[in-house]
Amino acid sequence: MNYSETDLRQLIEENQRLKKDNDELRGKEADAVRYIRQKVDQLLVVMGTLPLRPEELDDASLLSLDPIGIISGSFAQVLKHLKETNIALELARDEIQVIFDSVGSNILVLDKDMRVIAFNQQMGELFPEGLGNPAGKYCREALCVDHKACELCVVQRVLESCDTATVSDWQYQGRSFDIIGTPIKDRSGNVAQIVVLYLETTERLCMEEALRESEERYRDLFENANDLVHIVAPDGTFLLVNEAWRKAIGYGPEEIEKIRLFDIFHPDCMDKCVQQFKRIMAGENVGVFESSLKSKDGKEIVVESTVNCRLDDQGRILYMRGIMRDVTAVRQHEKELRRIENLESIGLLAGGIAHDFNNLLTSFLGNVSLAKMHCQAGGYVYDLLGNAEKATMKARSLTQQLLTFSKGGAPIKKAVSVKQLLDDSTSFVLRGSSVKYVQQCSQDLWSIEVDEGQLSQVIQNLVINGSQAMPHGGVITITSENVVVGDGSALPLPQGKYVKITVSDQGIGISKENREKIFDPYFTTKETGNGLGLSIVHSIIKRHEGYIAVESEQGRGTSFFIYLPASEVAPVMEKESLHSQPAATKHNDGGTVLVMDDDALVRQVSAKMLERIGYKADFACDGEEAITMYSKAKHNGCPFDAVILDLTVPGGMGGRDAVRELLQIDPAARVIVSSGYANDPVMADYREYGFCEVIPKPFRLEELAQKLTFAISGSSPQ
Amino acid sequence: MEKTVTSIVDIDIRGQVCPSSLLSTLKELNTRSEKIRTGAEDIVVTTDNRDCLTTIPQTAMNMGFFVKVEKVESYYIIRISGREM
Repeated sequence: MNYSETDLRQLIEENQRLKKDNDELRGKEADAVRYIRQKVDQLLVVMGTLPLRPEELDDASLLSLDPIGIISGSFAQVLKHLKETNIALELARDEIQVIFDSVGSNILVLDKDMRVIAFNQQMGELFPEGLGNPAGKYCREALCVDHKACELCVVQRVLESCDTATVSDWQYQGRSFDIIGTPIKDRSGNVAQIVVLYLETTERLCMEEALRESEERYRDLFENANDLVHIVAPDGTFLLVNEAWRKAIGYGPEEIEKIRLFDIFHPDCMDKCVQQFKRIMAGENVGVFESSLKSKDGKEIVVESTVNCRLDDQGRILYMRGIMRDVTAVRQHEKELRRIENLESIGLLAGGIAHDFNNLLTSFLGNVSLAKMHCQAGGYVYDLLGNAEKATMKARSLTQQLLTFSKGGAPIKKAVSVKQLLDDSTSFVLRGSSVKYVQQCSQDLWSIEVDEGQLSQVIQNLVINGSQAMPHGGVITITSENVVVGDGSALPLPQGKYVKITVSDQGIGISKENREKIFDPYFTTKETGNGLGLSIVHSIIKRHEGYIAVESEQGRGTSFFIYLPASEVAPVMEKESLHSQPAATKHNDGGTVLVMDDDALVRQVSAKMLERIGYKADFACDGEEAITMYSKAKHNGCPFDAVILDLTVPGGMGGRDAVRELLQIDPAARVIVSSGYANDPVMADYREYGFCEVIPKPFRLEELAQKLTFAISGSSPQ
Repeated sequence: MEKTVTSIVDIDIRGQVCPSSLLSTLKELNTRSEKIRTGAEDIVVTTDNRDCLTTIPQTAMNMGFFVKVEKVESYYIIRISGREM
């Protein structure tokens, strides 16, 4: 086939044209690919990631991979995810709003310029009325005094520190708040917003104050109570003790932590206390009981205790409470009182016995006296009777002591010289003994007002005891000195001046157990002792408002300390003792004597004695009878020359009343008082009562005769 | 409560430059999306390309998936799951 030139030319043109189209198409394809790449990158960036690097996608994969399809598919999921996130956020925001409004505090949200962005309902109520819409206003306009931010402003601090800040006790409208400011930071870490929380503390503070006051009241009561109060854990450790407890028991705070309940029980009471403890821990209600505690320095504290337990919900013991009243002093007083009552009741008994006994002695002595008259003086029988007389006189001094002991009445006090009294009593007792006596008396010793006879007995009893404690001889020292008892003194005596008399021996001493009992009646360690001596001493000292104490060491000796109140009154001169009166048995040429005594034996022996010494006698059994007889005799013209009246007539009128009546009938009546008790006030001051003479029972014949003579003749020795 | 057994889909694109790791991973994520979200499948991508770490985790998270990245020797393991890991 032949192609013409024209054909060839057409083919070349076509070829060129096709080549040109090809280039154009290639160019367009390259543009298209470039366009797709660019858009893929654009889409990737829009999606939030990085554009592709050229080598990551070659032209061949470009279409087969379907990058735009992939991106589209992923983008759809991104959008879906965003939508879901938005819904969740909305929900969360609603939740927060509800919480925000319903929370029981005031919440305020501010921007970084301190302007109000948001606030919850409660906060809204806190803003002052008339503020208008708080949003956008400065927080200080709403809340601060004078609209000025204060120095401690929480918000300022949060802004400055970029951290949480708090303020306590912020006052607003009369209420108290704690403020907490918390920053909300942006992505750069700067404070974008501040959340301010206002927690109202008004009520809490009120309650705290009330609680404090209440606690204060209870603590005040607790610490000021007189009773000892403690709280003890089940293991015995002390959880709490009050001031009275600390004072009485004496441990300091650190020491209390180390000791336990059993450490304060007194050893003498340990068994009982432990038992009570166990019973209480077992749930038993033991009521009020008495026990003894031991202080830090070993002193015994007698207490009346009320103890019970506090239980928890399951009935287990949380702790034990003890309230204890210190009754040490009370018990001590009770002991003393009982001792005194004991003594008093014994005294009453003794008095009754002594009275009858004395009358019997009177009869006895009277008869012996009379019998002596019918003997040959100096003969065998005379001597025997003399011995009987001496024994009777000793018996009389015994009954004197008994009667002293029994008399409940006050001692008849008068100012005496201590030195004189001590000398008289001591020498009397120690006559013929191997025991020596030393007296130490301080100069200017104060005088004391005492019943001489009674105090004499005291000294005599103590000296007798002392000498008996030294059977092989020794020295008894009696010291007297002035002593002033002050405010804080340990002696149970009121403040004031006292004379202290100390009677010391060097004898066998008194054991510790016995020292408690020596003043008890009928307590004696001697084989031949009646046990009354020291109880009489105690009784006498007590009645003189004094105090007696004893110290003793076995084998070394004993000392008695007597305190007697001093007196301003100077002692008077001693009256002459009855001992030194001369005996007189002057016979009379008959006078009549009226004798009044309730005891038949006394009347009987008096009759014989009066007859012996030449008087006629008439007898009455009591005061009334005596008055009747006396007035009858006077009326009949033959009045009695003398009357002897017994002082004590049980169940009838005694001498004291009778003499008054007699003197009314006859002011010149000569009345003698007779009694077993020489120190009775009437006997001591017989003249005051209207008597002209006194004759203590029992009396000897000579005494009776002498007194009658004095009475009738009207002359008595000075 | 039955514990769903999660099968692992391994995509090992170590040494791969093209096609893009991101696009490859996204393709898998799209096709397996439902299974991954219910917890039936997890995707584990093993790659030695550091640039992947700047693209794949963020994009997967934007899509709502949970991602955990671990470096193991000379390469990285990116685990993509529908549950928190």
